[in-house]
Amino acid sequence: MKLANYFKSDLIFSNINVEDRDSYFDLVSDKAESLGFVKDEFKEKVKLREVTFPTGIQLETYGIAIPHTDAEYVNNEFIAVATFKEPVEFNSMEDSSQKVNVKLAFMLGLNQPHSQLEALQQLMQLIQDKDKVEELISAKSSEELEKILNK
Amino acid sequence: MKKVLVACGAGIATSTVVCSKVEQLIKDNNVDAEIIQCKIAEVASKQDGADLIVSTTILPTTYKIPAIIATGYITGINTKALDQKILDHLK
Repeated sequence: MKLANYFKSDLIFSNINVEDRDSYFDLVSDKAESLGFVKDEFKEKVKLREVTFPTGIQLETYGIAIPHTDAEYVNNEFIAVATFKEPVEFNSMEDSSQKVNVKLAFMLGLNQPHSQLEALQQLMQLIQDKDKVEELISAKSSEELEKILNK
Repeated sequence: MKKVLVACGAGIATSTVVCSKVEQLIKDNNVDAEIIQCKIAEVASKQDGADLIVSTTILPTTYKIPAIIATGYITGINTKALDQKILDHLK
């Protein structure tokens, strides 16, 4: 399945104003839960996992995060996309003592281990595409953000 | 035959991508190796009989076998050096 199939209009958030990482997790997980995408434990599990195994990724000029948790808490697969008004601090995937300032985050709701290779490869290509990432970050509305994602 | 454990936190996202990179790498270089995708928490119990750990996440403990952090395959930064490092361990 292609990456675009994982994006859901209701789970695309542009320029959200959140105080910290956890407020972002609350906002997106609550929405995903209300739509039936995840079980109620998802929110706590994704927060907990971020503490143990951080998902911040520092690229050359920007930071990205790809929070996710175990498959069992996901009912229907999705990738929720959020851009932040002010950068949100995550820890680095390779070294938890390093901070990454994140402007764009992809919350991965995946429940089929080993099977979403195509979508994940496309996602990794996307996060390495500086021009595209800048375009996503500067989108003014979730409609615009969705349009760029599906382009 | 060498055995490589490819691990990430949940064994679901980044290790899937890294697994395919490592598979391609060993194929291109005619290395005889088997790749096993797992959660980092499972590595301790699976390290016996394995030769190398390739991880996309921080290592929660120390292991008896060498471990390489492979976030370069996610960021696209320095992947050539990473390729070489992995190959060197499988020679």
